[in-house]
Amino acid sequence: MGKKPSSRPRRARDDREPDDERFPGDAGRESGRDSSLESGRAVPKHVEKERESHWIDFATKEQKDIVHEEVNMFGDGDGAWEALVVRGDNNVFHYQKGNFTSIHLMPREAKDRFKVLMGNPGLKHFGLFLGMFKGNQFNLSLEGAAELVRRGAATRNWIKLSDDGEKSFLYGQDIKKPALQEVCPRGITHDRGICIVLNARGECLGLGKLEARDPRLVKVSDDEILVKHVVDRGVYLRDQDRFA
Amino acid sequence: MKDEGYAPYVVERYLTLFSEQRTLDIMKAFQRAPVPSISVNTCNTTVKALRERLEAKRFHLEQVPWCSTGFWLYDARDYERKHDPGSLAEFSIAPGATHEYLLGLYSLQGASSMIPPLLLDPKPGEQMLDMAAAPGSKFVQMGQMMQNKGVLVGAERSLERIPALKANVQRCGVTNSVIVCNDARYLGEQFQGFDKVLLDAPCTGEGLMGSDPSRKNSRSVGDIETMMNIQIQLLEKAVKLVKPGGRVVYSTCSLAPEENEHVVNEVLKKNKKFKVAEPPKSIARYFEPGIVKAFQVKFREDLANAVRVFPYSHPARPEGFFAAILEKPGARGGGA
Repeated sequence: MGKKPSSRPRRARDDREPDDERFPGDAGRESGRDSSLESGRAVPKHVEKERESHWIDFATKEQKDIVHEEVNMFGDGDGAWEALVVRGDNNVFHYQKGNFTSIHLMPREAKDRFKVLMGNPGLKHFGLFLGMFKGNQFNLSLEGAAELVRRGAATRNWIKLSDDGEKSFLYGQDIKKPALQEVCPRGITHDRGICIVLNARGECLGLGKLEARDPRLVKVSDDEILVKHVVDRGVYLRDQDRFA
Repeated sequence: MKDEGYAPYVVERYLTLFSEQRTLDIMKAFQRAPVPSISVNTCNTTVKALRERLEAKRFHLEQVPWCSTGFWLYDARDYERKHDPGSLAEFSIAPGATHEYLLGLYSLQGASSMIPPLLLDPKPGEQMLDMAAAPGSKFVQMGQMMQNKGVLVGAERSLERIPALKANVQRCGVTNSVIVCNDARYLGEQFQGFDKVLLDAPCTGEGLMGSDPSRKNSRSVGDIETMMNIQIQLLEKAVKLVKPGGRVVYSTCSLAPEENEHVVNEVLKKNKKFKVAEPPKSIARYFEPGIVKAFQVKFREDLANAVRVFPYSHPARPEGFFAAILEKPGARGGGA
């Protein structure tokens, strides 16, 4: 597996990126109470209890750098970040809830509306859920991987499965040689072995983690687990609790 | 008719509201569930491509005439035998568990429930509000019509229904949405000035008797009145949240005029500048107009522009439904 690059990631120079922009009054960090709510309970009591434990704001520069580097692991040069953020015309937000920090992309054209909704204590989801921080490590989400594939930007660290492989992966199974149809030309070079799992049509099925010693998955036996299952699209049916 | 399991008041109401023949037609259609239907997510695939993939899996698709991305779904073997159980359980492959479904290429959506977003006609770049968004089939349909441009806000009161809504949104790749767990009756200043508002209101679900026969006798007249009061509160809020020149679509899956024409009539008495607009002929021609008089009560004349779906409207037995476009006069501001 490749080492984590020590040099700063290359970034597209884009005057539109709102590095220093902040919402007036730092709305995301304020108590989260929407004083404009009319009498009559717009936010159910059990939801309102959560309001002090989460806030939303633009991602910090440090967070963006880490996310940028991770996202670009799946594309060529700065292509993945460009596709998602620059050409996608998105702002990058962090959503802090307890000890969990997630990163979301929200269209810039939605800025004015989102600015007023950010303080709503009943906010449950917004934009594209790109992934989650675990300490200083950013893990791309299933939806983030799917969006990269949809935009044609997932050109590195991917594998393709056969039709039978697709069936077993969508049941949560690990990947062995008979399931594998193709590996990206440079092999899996992600520093943690993470790869996007595609079906034979190139559609995103989920994410996996390299287990085999050979990152090109050539010198492998039929029985060994090549790629461990991380997450697959079957969760939309199997595990709706994760969306709570 | 008693043997069909209907509560007596249901039959009496139908006979008063509609002719005897129409009452019989409704009840006959409700004997079986609607044929299942899907809505193609054209942000992720094309109608042609999905059709080929599903036909290869031995599904037969029939076009829903009022929705270019809507299809009724049959098991191909059943279709060849002209066997139409109308039940998802009869399929050899569950339509809600195919790989294509998991990939977000389509959603399971009632053919009637495809109508409100079509009447609302959300456009890319607009600001839309769905006041009762869960479980999300109409919400996702609107996101797809907007091509993920603009902003689509969904309010849902029930925390238990939020996971299903989020799952549908993320499965289908709707990336311009904001979901809030809020009671839409009390939405505040944060929710002013939307270009268009969808209110698919909670109701007694009378139009779903085909798929849920228990509704033939599990609801009372009191339930109709309870829901009617909630619907009036919701619609009163909806008309406040839309900007001048904007549009509200009010819909229910009920056949009761108390939950439909009466609600619109009551709310527009206090909001006189609104009018009930004509629906596109491409949709209206399949259905019946709204009722302007029921139970000796007269409603405003433009309620004839509303759309009523009866289960006998098509051989596939669509869910009973009501939808009305309410337009707010005034020039729309520049930009969404």
